[in-house]
Amino acid sequence: MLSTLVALTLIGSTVVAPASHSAQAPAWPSQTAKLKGVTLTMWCAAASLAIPKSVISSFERVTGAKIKVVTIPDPYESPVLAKIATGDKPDVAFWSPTKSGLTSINAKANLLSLNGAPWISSVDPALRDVFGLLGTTRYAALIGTPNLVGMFYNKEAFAKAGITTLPKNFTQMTAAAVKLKAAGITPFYDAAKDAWPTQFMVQSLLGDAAKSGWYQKLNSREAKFTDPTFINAVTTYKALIDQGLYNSDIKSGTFAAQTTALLKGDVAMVNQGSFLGPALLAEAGDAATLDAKIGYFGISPTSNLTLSLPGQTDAIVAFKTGNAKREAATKQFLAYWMGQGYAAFLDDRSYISLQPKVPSPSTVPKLFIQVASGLKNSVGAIQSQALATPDIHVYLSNMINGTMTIEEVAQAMQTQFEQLAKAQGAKGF
Amino acid sequence: MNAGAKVKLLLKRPRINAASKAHSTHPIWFIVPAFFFLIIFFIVPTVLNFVYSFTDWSSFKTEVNFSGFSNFTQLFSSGNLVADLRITILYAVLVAVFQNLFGFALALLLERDTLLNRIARASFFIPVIMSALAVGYVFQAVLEPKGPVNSIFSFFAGRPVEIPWLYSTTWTIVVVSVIHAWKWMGLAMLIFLAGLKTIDSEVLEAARIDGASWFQTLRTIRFPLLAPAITFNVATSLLGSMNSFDIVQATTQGGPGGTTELLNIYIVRAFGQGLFAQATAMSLVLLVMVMVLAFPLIWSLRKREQIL
Repeated sequence: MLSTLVALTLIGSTVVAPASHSAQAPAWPSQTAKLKGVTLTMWCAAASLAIPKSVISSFERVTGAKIKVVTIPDPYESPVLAKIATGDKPDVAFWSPTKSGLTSINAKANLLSLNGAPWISSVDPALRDVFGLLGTTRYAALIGTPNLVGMFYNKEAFAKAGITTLPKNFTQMTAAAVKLKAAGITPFYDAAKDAWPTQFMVQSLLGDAAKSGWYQKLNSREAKFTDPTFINAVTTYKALIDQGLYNSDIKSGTFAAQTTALLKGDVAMVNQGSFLGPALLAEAGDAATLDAKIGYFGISPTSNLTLSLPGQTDAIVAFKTGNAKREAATKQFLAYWMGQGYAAFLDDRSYISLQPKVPSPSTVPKLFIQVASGLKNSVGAIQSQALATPDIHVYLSNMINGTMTIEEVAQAMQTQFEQLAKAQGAKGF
Repeated sequence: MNAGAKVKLLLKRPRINAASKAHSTHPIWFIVPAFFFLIIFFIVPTVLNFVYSFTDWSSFKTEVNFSGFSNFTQLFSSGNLVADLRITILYAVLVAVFQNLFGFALALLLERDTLLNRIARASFFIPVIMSALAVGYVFQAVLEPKGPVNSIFSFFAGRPVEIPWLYSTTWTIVVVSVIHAWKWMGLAMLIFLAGLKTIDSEVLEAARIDGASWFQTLRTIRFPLLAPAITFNVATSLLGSMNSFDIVQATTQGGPGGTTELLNIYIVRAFGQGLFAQATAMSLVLLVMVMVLAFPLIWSLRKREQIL
């Protein structure tokens, strides 16, 4: 009986003792400090497994730590939120660095603050504080140029239709599309089956409104999705489809088919995020082939504005796990990734450097640099500026299939937006 | 001892009635372990499902507060829930019809215990134990506009045939319910086979002697006597498919245009947006719907069994 009591007390004390240490937030550890015996868990989407591979193996080699990568099934964000709701947390994961992204994961409660991190001062000032912050606290570390949305076009298709200058506004782009159709080339391609690509044209059409602060008005309830601003954007998009300027199999279109069609020249223009770049590169085989075939320009109603729409592949976050040792190791991993391991990481991924002192690798296709340069003339998309992002792609896909009218799309957007804002506890909702 | 005394002795003997006999060999506390699991994995989640529907639980904050009926008023005013309920019930009815039709046909076809029939029965049971998600992905590939099925049609038609199996806003719901029925028809077949085998052979022989044809025997004798099997099959196929998710998610993701959006798909979407309380409220509505359908259905089928 006594021995049982002693055993129980010993067990109890070992459980209680470490918990009392986690109250203190650890300072930023040295990047290459030894971490033998420490295992960290990283959550990663299936399509992004290649991204952290090289930096993980070099970190493991240098410090002796072990990082276990857990694949999260598509669509990534939902399973992650579901797992966190059940109390399952990783040490580090990919996550969107936008305000709405960080709010949805309840950053204040779940994530470690990255304020005072050693790499922050090395980042390009123009990019440093644009994303990853909620209020004054930094929660996400940007690992690459944030996803930018614009028009990827096939150079050969443009040449065949006799288009010599790039469109500078929407009217010019529509005129170019009509010319392409006359030359027997499908002007645009959209993927209503995958659904998520359908949002980009409408978002590009809202570019000017985004620049003039329409999303702030939305957040303060001065504007609504049911206003003419949004309805006109959706109407213009639908008109393009009805005019026959989109692929005839739009209802069964997929991202994979979109990539192939653009590269082959069956389709002239695709409105997509910059993550289309790596997909095109993988299919083209090498940078030279890609650069010869594909070009890029930003587009909005009146100019060549680009939309910035960072997604989960653009940033990483560190979680509050209550285990001081692992939290320190996670911070060390992030510091290494953005510090000593940064150049090798860029080389491995052919990413563009966000730090002026670290040069971009020479293997980066000219197309990627062209896309990234759009950041200087960019404006945040719904995901970046609005309090919450309704399922715009679901409603637009329904509209393409004929089961929702334009007004119903707008109403559904507004209803869901209000619902999400209310759940967030946003003022005025 | 005379007979009367013997009877009196028998009557005086304390009677061990059935209940106490049962108690001595099967004490009530034998059931405690099973009950324990039932409580933890079934009753507690169901109660929590009920409780959380009336809160504002979401991924945006850690506190959970009561919010009354606001989730339900919001759900029913949006129109989405009612539309999805309608689609789910339609799907369930189609599955019940197809699954039992196919299962019954297979049972009749493979009734005799030949080697070929035994192999066929096993083959038709394989889809039942396959992962539903895998079935969905296989059919998604097979029913592509330029996929194998259309290629076969094109071959026989001599011209390109591109039937949009999974892209019709009217008919895709029928296609996905056929896929679901295909997956589970082996189980229906098994139950019907068992039911057919329990029919007294003397009754069938009598019918044969009386000159009844195969079809007449089927219609007037075997089908009515299959009532218990039909009760089981119709109830499980109808009520089970209301909880369907995997096959539709893998093939159409609720499209095209939301015409195959089962309630579970909408629930997953709401959950993915971080609106946990709303998703829980929706699943409570589904639970109530299934119960509302289940009681009259099973009652009427059982009544039919008793009559027949």
